[in-house]
Amino acid sequence: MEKIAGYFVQYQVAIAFSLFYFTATAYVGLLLILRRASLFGMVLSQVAQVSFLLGLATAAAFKGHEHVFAMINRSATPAGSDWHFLEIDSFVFPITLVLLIPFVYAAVRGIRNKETLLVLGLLFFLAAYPLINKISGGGDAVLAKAYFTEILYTPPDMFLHYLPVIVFLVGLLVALHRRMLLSGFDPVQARLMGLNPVVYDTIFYFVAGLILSVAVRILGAYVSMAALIVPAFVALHTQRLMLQVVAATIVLAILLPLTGFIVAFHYDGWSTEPLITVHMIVAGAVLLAIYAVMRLLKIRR
Amino acid sequence: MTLELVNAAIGYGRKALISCLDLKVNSGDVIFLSGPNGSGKSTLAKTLLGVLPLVSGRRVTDFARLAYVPQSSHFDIQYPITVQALVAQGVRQNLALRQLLSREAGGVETRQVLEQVGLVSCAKSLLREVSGGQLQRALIARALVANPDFLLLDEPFSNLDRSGRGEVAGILRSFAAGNRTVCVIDHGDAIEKSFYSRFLEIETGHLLEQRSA
Repeated sequence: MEKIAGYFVQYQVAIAFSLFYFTATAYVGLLLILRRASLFGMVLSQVAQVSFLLGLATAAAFKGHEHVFAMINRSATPAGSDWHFLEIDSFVFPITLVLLIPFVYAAVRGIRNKETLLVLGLLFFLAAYPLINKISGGGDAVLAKAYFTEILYTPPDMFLHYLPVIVFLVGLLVALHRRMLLSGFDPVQARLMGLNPVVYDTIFYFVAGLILSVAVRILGAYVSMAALIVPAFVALHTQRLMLQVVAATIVLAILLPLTGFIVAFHYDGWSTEPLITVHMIVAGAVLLAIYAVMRLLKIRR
Repeated sequence: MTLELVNAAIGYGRKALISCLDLKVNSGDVIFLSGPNGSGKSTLAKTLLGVLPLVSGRRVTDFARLAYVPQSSHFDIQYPITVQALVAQGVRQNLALRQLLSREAGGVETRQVLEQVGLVSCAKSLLREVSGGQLQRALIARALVANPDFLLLDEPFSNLDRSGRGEVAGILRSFAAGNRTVCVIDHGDAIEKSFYSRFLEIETGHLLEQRSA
């Protein structure tokens, strides 16, 4: 217990900030699941991964490998400044946005066999990442770090650099919450109410894509996927009303990773991020099982 | 008040499903629009509502408030909203930013409409907890809460048993009694033919007016 408390004190900044990113991702996940577009979220997380690598490769092509290494190293240490992050972002985010276009188009336009296209996209980006990594000269350690970043060793500068952007983007989704829900639930009714669902859907998918691309860099691809799906899925199956579902998603997006950190600190020789990922899914399943048993007992009574 | 389509071609994108379409809907008309599956009934409905742009031609209307009742089978009934919240979707103010954290606007109107369609007892029920007939009435209530002068319903009687059909017909009858316009779309024969004043049919890409009651 003392050991776990000690770790919590040592990594309090990283834990506190990461929980904010977990919450933002889970909220996006809820909106995606309500639109039956969780597969789209999975593709987004991989688009973010690949565009980060492509961004760095583009930077290397223009400015040389040494400059890129310096750029990353300065950003990965407490001495890194906002300008280094902005320099990386200036290469990465345009590529993210371009790669998002076909998937946002598919999601908004409702094209035929959309799910199949998304699965193909997911498969392509999953397979392309190690290849691009290899071509760029990255080793296996770099590959592993991309799928499971080291949340606890993320420099506070990096959390702080993206914080205003994520606060703004989540704020935008919250401000348009009811409009987003209506345009996803019933586009014809939305049009009759004076909304243009195409506009709202496009805003939603691009904003979701940007939030995820940041979350993936901070939490890692697989942890982000868990954060995207597990809290919202459990909330939707245990709560009745929309407000309760939103509240439960937020609470679970904090509690599940937090207990995940406790598990990870207990088994401190193991990798933190895979433990958190597995813990979130198992704990989510346990919560659903408890809920099902309680419901059964209530019905029998 | 009128709604007019002049030499219109309707469809999605540039592909016209129905062309050379001239239709005038007057205030107080009670229309039954029929046609086989895939003939373009729902497309025509969305065009009349103004949510789908014309491929060519003109749409002119001075109806101020148009409302639509979609096919209930098109809805995701697992969505976590109550019947009351569904009906409140018809109140425009609920989309305003200031309503984000406050109670839903139009509470009085919503309650009145729920009473009108006989759904007060299941106002707090989720969509998945109500019957097909109750869901259909909830969708009609959402349209009525906007106090429309033109109500368009897409297959409102499908998936309903006899008593359910009677309930929906009763609601439509009382709505139309206020000299308001109703258009019911269905692929079968009209139930209670005496209710309708006009019968339209889509046949092989053309809209035909059969007869007036």
